[in-house]
Amino acid sequence: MVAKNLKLLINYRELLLNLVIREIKVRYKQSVLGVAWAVFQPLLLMIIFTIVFSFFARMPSDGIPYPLFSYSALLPWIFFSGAINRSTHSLVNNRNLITKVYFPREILPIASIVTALIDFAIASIIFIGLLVLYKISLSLYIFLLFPIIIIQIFLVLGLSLFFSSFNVFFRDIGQAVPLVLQIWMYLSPIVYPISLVPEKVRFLYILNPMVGIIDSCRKIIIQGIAPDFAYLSISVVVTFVIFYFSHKFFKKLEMSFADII
Amino acid sequence: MSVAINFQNVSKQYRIRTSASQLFYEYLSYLFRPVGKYKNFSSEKIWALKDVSFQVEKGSTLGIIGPNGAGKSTILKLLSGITNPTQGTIMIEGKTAALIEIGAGFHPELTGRENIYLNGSILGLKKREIDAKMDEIMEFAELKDFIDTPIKKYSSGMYVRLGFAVAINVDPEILLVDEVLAVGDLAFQHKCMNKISEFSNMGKTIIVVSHNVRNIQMMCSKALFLNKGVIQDYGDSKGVVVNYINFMMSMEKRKETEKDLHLKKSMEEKVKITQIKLLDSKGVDTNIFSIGEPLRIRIKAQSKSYISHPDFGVTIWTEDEKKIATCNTKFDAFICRDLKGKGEWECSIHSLPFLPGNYSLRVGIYDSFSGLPYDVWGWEKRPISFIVKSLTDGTKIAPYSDLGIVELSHNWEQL
Repeated sequence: MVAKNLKLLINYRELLLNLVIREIKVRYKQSVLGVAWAVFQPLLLMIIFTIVFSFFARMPSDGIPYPLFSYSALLPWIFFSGAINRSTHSLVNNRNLITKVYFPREILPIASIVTALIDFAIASIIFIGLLVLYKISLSLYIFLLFPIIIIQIFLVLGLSLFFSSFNVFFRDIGQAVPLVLQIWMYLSPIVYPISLVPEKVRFLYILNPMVGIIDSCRKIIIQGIAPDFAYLSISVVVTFVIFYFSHKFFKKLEMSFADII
Repeated sequence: MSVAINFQNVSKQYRIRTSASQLFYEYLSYLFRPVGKYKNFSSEKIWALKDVSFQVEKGSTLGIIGPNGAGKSTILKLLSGITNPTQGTIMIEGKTAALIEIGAGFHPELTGRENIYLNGSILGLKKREIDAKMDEIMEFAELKDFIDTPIKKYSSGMYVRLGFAVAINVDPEILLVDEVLAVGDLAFQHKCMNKISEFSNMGKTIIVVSHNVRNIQMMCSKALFLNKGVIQDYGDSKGVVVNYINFMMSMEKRKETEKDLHLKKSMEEKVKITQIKLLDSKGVDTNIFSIGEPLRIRIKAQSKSYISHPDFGVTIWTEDEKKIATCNTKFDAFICRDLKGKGEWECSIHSLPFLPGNYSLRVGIYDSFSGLPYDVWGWEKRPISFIVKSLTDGTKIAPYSDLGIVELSHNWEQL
């Protein structure tokens, strides 16, 4: 089923591209700072986190300078939360398209994800600057970044398919998602290191797929060491399960979107 | 001929008035249903289509007609794949393009050109296909000068033209046309119609939904007449359209007669016209007049109850039922006294301007407030007519020669 869908999506790649262009163009039209906004969000959060958690709270950061420590987690996190927030509303906001024209519906959440991915790429440029500033030398493990990003994309995709389709039926989802994401952020090792999580509950903690992803990003980029493959494989398994069921769920509901929305 | 579209026993059910919490309980009870015991309870449902079957041959044009809520647009939605049938199967051969709503997905902040790309790709066009057709689209939409303006600055007419221009250039094998043709000015409508018949000549299959039966008769070889989701008639478009018109007229008449009969009866009981006389200049009762002669219409009526300030109206008609003049107390601001029991009135026409021929009159007494008639004379049962005769000197001869209806007072001069 997934393969068949992939083919359909390839046929509609131009629509996907145009929807992404629409979203980006519309967002930055009539704005002075334009694309720079993609950088401000992680940058400001990093500064605030550094002040609050490093200077005030004296949070340990596994020996990594705290700005680097938090920014390396904020980058994947902001992609994650931005994409899900945006895509949850993607179907409902395009009501007039869904009720008037046929096209594979998953294009809409995917377009939101791609848009967030572009923001992610822009925000990464600052990160490279930070790496140079702190004179971090990269190891060969850096190449693991690509498969990790792909795992994260699938995780985001799975959650987006689920939330966006559920939101068509119950708008409560749109209200709940930002709250869930906020809680999720504190359940992920963004402002604190995993080592701070008590051993006793850590087996539960690592079921959160973002744990493996964020931890790996930090290890392979900043510390230049191998990621924790145990954590990472849990992330992969959980991601796969979420994606599989969400996709099924989405496909099952897809044909009733136009009737309910 | 091969079949392009095959509808087989298709039904479509919609929920109406279902709130999110109703839906939620329904799903919950479905999720935790005792085995085999689930029943659909909470929401109201309607059948938008019920057991509809028809076939459309490749290259033919089918018109779908019917009153509001007949299920016409639902058929288009099913054909374009926006929604699935509740029951039955639909077979479609070829790429479809729906014009269900032109301009779907337009974004006000984007320019005309950007929206063409966006809308085109929504309708399934590739970028190079749009590139190739860009000039044609701009030309068709008549928007060359505004193509790089954000469409939030467009007028609604420009917006619609752009949408139609993109949709019509998708070049589908099956074209679905909804009522959208009702937009734009006449010239643009004409252009759209031409484009559609061009499609038809190219051997494409076209489905047209319209209230305009003349368009359907002109464009379609076959027609489908739906009412309340059920097929009433299907076949040759001329016959189907006639059936549809008859159906709509009988619906209209049934509505009217039920209401009107009741009202008419109660009005007639109050006042009746008892006598109408036509008098000439000497006060003689006659129905033959000469051109330029005065005509006085004497009306007698009797009321059973008290009538406040009744109004009178006199209309004059030619023999072929053309109304040519009206005299009305209301428009003349003449206020009649209240009527209780018998009364008599006179409308006097100073000089008859009509050419020789037969004319008829209708005279009515009306309620001054609502304008509804109490009683009218002059229909089949109580005709009033008069003749305007030719002048004896042989001028202004011959009724119905091609002179017109009225005689203007005039003269000629050589300058």
